[in-house]
Amino acid sequence: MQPVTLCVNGEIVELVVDPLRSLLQTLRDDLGLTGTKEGCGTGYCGACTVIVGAHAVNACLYLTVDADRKDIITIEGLADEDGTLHPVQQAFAEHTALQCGFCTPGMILSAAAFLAENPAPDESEIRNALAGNLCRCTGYQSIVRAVFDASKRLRDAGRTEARVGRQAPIRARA
Amino acid sequence: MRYFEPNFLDEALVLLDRFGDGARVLAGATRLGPQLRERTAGVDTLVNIKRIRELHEIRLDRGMLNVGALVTAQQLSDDELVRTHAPLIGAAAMTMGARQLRSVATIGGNVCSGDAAADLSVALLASDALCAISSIRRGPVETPVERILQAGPSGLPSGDLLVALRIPLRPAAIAYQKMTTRRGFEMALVSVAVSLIFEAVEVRHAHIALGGAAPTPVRATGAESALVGRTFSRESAAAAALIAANADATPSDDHRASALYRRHLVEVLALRALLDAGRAHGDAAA
Repeated sequence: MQPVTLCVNGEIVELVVDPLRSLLQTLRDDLGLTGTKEGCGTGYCGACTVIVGAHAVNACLYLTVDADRKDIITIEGLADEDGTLHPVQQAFAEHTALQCGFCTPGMILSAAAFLAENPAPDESEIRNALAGNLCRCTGYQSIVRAVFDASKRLRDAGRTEARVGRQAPIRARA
Repeated sequence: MRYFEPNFLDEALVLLDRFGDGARVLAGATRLGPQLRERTAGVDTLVNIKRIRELHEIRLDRGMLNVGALVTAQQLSDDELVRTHAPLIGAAAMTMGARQLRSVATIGGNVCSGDAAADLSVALLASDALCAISSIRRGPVETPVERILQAGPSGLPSGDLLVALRIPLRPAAIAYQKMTTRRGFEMALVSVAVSLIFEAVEVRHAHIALGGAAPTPVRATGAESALVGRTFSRESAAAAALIAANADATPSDDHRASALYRRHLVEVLALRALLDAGRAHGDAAA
């Protein structure tokens, strides 16, 4: 077992974990942050995407020990403290860029990380950036439109990073 | 399960030597993590090498580009030194899986995975790269990447650590082509990496590597000899691609593609890659 210190959605969490425990298991089962979904569990579907440091990663493949002393943003930490949605979330809602919603947290975090890096993407860049996130409902059109719209909102608001807002309720467990 | 995060290379080597066959090295762990979660038989020690700073570095060293084993596919796609001095590696890295994977998967892990179509391995093979390997018993040694890849998954003897990939600087025209069933999704069915050195219109050196065309990434030596010393043309490229498919490739049927289809892909992709490289040379010469 290995002690780790994570900064999840702006809150410091200290845990002792099995060295092979995935970040997905830690987030969902140890911290109760079930907004991060488990789809395939093998890195293909992107449903478990979270942001570690500045990068979108598959939490199912990412070792918790590798997240030690790093900033992690899950879907629970994307909106502002007062509940104001992040521009990417707002755009997904307004463009109905979801149906069942299972892929949505991963899709939104992939998009948020991507827009922090490329604030003015074209459609093909958006499609390329989301290639690792599968959606079985929407056919992707509305998702691409939402991300494009979100890029404009972020630029207009002068926000160019995926920032953490509301902090999720987390209890450390030994 | 014992778990270590050594800070220095020597510390890691001592651990790998001490725990021998039962030890596994964790790099990006995108392959090994899920495998070990399923089955840990025979493994009692994990050595996570992430803290060793030199393994993350890309630098020019003694006439070669030295890429630390923990450099990720994303770093390779973005890095200026790689773009300038090892464009074939950068081109292959850019095609690798989705963004989420590229940020985590490492060049060292790619080589050690032993996958027949591992993108970076195929590009390294066509670049004549060397593996800088270290161990307590033998000290630092350099081995052609071809030898490590031929040995298959975890082809390194226990106690050895892949420290860096060393890529010779060559004024080559390069190209990388691959076929997947879904972009950003999975391993290439077949991939072809090409590195040609021209003298005017004549090919002086040809390095062609095939992924997914044999049990491990392989050089297409027949196709290479057909090109060297001759004037490059669409016809000579087509003839070489045919040799690559019929003589150099030794694919087998699996659940993803038939051997027949893989041979067909080798011919088509080799021709595309050779023509791309030919064009790159033409553009550079013009």
